[in-house]
Amino acid sequence: MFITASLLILQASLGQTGAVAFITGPTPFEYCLTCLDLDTGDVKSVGRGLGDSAPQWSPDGQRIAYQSRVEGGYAVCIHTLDTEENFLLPHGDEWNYEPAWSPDGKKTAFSCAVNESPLRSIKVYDFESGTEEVWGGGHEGLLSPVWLPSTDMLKALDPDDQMAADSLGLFALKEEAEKNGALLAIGAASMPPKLSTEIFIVTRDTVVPLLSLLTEDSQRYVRYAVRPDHKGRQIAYECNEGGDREIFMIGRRGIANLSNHHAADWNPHWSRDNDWIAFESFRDGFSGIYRSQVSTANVSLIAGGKGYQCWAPSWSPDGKWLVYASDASGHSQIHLSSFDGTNQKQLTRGEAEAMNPVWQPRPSKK
Amino acid sequence: MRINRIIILIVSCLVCMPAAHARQEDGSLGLIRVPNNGRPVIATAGDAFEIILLEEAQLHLEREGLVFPLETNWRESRGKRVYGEATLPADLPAGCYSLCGKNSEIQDVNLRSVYIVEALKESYAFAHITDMHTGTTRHKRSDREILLELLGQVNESDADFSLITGDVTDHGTAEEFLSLLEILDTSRIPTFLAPGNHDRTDSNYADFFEHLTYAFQYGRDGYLSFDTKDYLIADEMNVQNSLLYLYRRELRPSRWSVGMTHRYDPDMGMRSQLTLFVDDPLDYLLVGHTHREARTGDQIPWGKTRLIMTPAAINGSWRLVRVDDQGLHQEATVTTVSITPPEPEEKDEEEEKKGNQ
Repeated sequence: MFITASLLILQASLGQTGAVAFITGPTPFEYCLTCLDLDTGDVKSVGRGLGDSAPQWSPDGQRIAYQSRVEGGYAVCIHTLDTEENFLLPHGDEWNYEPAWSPDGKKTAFSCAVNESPLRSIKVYDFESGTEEVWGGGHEGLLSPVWLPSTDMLKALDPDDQMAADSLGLFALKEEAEKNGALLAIGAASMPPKLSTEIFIVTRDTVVPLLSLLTEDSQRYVRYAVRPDHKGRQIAYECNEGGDREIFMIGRRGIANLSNHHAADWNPHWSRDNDWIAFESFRDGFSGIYRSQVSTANVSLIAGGKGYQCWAPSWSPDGKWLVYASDASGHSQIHLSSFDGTNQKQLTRGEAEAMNPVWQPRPSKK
Repeated sequence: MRINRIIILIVSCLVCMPAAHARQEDGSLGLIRVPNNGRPVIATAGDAFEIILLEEAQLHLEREGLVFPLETNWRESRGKRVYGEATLPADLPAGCYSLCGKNSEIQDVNLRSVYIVEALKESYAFAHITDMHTGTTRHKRSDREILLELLGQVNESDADFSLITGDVTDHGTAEEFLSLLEILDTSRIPTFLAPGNHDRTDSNYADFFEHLTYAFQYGRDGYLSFDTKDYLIADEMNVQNSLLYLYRRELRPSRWSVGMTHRYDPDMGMRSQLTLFVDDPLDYLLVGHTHREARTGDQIPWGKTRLIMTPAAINGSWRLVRVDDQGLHQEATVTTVSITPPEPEEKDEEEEKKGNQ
């Protein structure tokens, strides 16, 4: 482990604590998981430096799961802060992507290519038993898994069409979710040449298309970037319903459009208190970071301006700040902004591009 | 009066400037980043075009010893680049021009970077060239000979410009890119490039051609070049996703929207697929990578974008695509460039025998 000399970090003088994980490197093959300590401004390359990407903090903020190149494919790798070790999960398949921690930090879900199929499946690695297991009953065509923090949302699902619920196996799914937990994933909802995607609820043995339970004609649109709130009671996602991509939310009152604009809105991220969603939008002619108040759908700009792009927001644990990637300085670097956009700062100034920032859920123990 | 002005400019350039060389000595881009001969400008006299330089500079066009000053309007400076707009003289004759820049410390020339045409045609043709693999030794005949003959065929064709979709080099080394430039500059028509997986060594592609993602308009049609050289990770984290949306939106009013990239794979970054094939589908996508013709199963599974796949230039193949109000019409692949060296002629053999006698 070493301090990355090429990254000159501005001292984080905005009273922030904890760490931000991000990816940097001169070429995609050399992308490396890197940590910025917000207390000291120190930067450390902590990953394998082999095409590292998709970092995710464990819920306790002590480990980082990420995707990294191995011979013949990708593996999920776990970096532990205390020991500074990187542990490659022993995979059965060669191509493994997009790790996601379970709420208790005891498992990680990821998508993988099984038997050289172009369609991915979901697997879950159990850290206690040291084994991985195919989820969704081996269903193919699933990617980008995220865990539901609770089964509250599933309990509230009460479709009008009881026969459809029965045929989709909703009751078995609820039962199994209580026992083993549940994931949300994006999955293929129809086949080429007219592919579309849908949000699926995935348990170990079952896969159920979520929106088929709530709306008719659910395969008409293409959905992506699904994220449950921190209590598992509401779900945000993107959909091209209405002709452009918008941020929608499924909650107790049904489905609501939180970003309504004729330019694209992407990539929703919940604040810790679940009152706000940060997202990327092109509504002002550039890619900026915006926030929408969940209760009112009022949207305001956090960061962005003409001539440069801002993307990939990640909230601070207290919800008062966000980090994001921006090429305002000429190439992609990590930036910090207050929640209302009034206080902003460039955090990294490296020669290499820096991207994909993720704020540590809580400060690590010193 | 105008001729006198041009002559004075030529003389002053000859007196004041040491011999100008194209780009830097190693072939990488210098002061002038855009346009260049992998991302040129096709325009009519009086048009304005985007310029990106390391520093502000005086710019002019050169052709056959004549110098044509450009009016420049500098817009902004970000990082190590300045961005602006140059306006072409209203009486500029049609032809291929070098863009020359000079400030107090640096001077630079980008060959074949500006093409002036009388008018942008409604019906026209372009050459689809892909997988040049400059530097390879895979065939008995040299890569240079194969590619020069291929570009010679393109020069003789009806093509108004070439779209070259990646693997322009074999190993992505600076030496291979330098060889590529020499080959490319035998083209008489504009050459627009996209990077491929063989071009990803260090930052060489960007050093030689600046942008991996860009868009341009030819008449009523829009072309969007994007990077799939490492399709699994690169486009999911960096700025390309944002640029693809912005460029796609710019090209929305186009008669035909045409993407050009090295490869299409259903496994590539979802965000770029949603932008280009789902939310606002491109009409066509040009790709290479496979070194073969498209098969029945080669399709973009989202349903609306049609795929045009052309076999490898290093194997002697290229394709003419005609464009009109009915769409893009791909002609049969041209495969008449031989990949083996020509046999020695009989006459030579006879002369050799005589010599031996």
